[in-house]
Amino acid sequence: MKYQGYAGKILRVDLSNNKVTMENVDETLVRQYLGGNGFGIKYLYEEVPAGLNPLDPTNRLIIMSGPGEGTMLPGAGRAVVITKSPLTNHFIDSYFGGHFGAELKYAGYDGIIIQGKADKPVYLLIDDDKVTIEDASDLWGLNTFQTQFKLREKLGEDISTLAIGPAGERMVPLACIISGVSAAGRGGTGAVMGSKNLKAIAARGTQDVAVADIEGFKQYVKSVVERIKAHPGTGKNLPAYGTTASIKTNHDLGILGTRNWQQEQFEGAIAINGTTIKEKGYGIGSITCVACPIACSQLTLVNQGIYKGALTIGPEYETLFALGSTCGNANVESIVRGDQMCDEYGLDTISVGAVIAFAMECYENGIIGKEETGGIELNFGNHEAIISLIEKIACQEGMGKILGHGAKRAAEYFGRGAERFAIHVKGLEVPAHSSRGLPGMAIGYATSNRGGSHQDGRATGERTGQVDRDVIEGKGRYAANVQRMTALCDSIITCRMTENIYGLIGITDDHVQMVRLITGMDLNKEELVDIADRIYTLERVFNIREGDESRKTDTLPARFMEEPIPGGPSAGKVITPEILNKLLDEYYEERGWDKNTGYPTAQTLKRLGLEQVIKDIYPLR
Amino acid sequence: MAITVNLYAGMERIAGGSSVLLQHKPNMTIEGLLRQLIQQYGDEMRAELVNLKTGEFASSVIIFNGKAMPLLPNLEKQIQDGDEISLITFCAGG
Repeated sequence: MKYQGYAGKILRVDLSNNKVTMENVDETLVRQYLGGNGFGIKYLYEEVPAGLNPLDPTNRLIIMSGPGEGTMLPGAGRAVVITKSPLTNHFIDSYFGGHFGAELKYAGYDGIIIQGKADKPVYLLIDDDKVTIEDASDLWGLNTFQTQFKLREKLGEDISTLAIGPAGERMVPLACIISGVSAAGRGGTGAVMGSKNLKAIAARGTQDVAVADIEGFKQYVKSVVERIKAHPGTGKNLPAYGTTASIKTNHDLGILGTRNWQQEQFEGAIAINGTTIKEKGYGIGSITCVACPIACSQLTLVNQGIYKGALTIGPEYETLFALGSTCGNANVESIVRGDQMCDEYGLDTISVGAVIAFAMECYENGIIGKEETGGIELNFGNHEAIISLIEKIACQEGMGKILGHGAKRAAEYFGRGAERFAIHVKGLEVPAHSSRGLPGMAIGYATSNRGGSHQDGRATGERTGQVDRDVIEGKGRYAANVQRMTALCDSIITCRMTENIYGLIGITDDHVQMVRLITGMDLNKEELVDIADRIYTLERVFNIREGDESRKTDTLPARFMEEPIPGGPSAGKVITPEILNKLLDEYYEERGWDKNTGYPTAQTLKRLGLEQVIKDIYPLR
Repeated sequence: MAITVNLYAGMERIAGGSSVLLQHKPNMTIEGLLRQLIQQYGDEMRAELVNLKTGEFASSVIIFNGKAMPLLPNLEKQIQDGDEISLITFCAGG
């Protein structure tokens, strides 16, 4: 491998045949896809045939690092899980923080491709070049933290781990993977891991990660740390409150999803805001991922009331929305408890909260009654109902069996007009960032390869005033450029918490510099845009190949297109179908995709070196 | 009369409340208001508003008499007695 920043090897684990092999990382793969999501989609596309049941042993569970992992680059303490999602039946990539990504590199691997299904519960042990599939009978049934503690007891404190909980074991489509205290939350990655009878992965390594220009890199990292410390966002707000103080600000801006997005202001915003958590004395410290000077994760312990003893990392802004405002729940202690339960069971807090809010609106409109809820009065604000439903979803009991499949499928099951209350994009529940109040976010959602995710398009530019949220014109091109930034950062892999430092509305000189200093590849901005476009376009083609992704499905929930925000500073804002269509035209033009179908054109696919996939979406040519 | 300034997170902690009243001055602008806050509350408040490496105000959003708008293009905006301004804390990531 002539490029630095890579271990140069990928582990392939065939659980059906109890076999582990190692493959060299191809230099062409590096030049074309860089790492992380890029490597992931390349392997997924080639190895997972269209139409495959995501819980079939043939599906791949791919865990990747990027060239940044294992170096000192601030924000590079992450890794990604890539698979075909059992929630959306499409591509999903979900990222997690902590130490696992770096440790995998120190062990000598850029990633792991897991296929097949073990005939009994197992875990994967990676100890430098010794890689074994181990019996996990004694771990099966334990929650995510119990599992990881037990592995540390058995293997030593220096082991880095990830695990599924009971929800993943039961293959709940909302199940996630937890590594340390961080979640690869979205899209049901935990269910895929559970379908393979894989309970956990433990990794430890002793090798170095080399960079191409060590002196230049040290100087660069020093300047990045200075910039992080100097900026009010990364130097003050995130270290003190994490993302939690955004509840009150977004309420005041009128862009906080409330009661399943019926409103975007929540009268309980102050009660669940990060400042209140601190004032109540629940904040007991913060923790950090490897090589990060921000330390945004807040450790929270409830010390009073019926939820006394509830302990969690977070809740993050997303969870305060999901188990709080969108469920009409102003009881912050119950949110801490619910967050803890989701982490322990291994459930995505965003989708869990969103599907409970959906059920609450169905209940209040008479679409479901106590017969379906098992006697629960499922009104907005009922925090005990939220706690009860989290358990039912994880354990697949009662209505939890239905809600565990997500809002889209639950709405199809309930019928009777429930679809209108299912707030999702392509089967993935929409997170905490307003579509109606932030048009750049709206088009970002509609065109996200993950579905209702805020990690392809971003809310940050409009929410921080770097882009005017009142302007519609140009937001299609803006969304494509933001997605280029996120696709590139997800291949290097850097954390979104550093997006304001490295560049949040497109690919910048910082990205050019970090790629050059780490890998030795002297790529300019246009060449990095090509890599980002190649990755994003191949993800798109993967979804199109599944048979139902097109301009028609690049859309938003009806509520966001038909019901203006009812009050507050964003009152009247709505993304009408006309606005969405205008932005889609702009977006497709910027991407070189066909405006009628939403498919990448053959010309664009050729330009990106993706000639081989043309036949998959244009079979008659 | 006075100007009402709504504060969040660290700014709220430094000022000791989520809302403070500032005396209106002739020809006062948004930038003048930010400088007055820094003068009144010192370096801690400066670190919440200014990028200490560039010396410039950090990009953010304000709510000016109920209307949200980007901060930086509106630094020269005139403030009248009785106006209400919310200084939204910068938060990227998540």
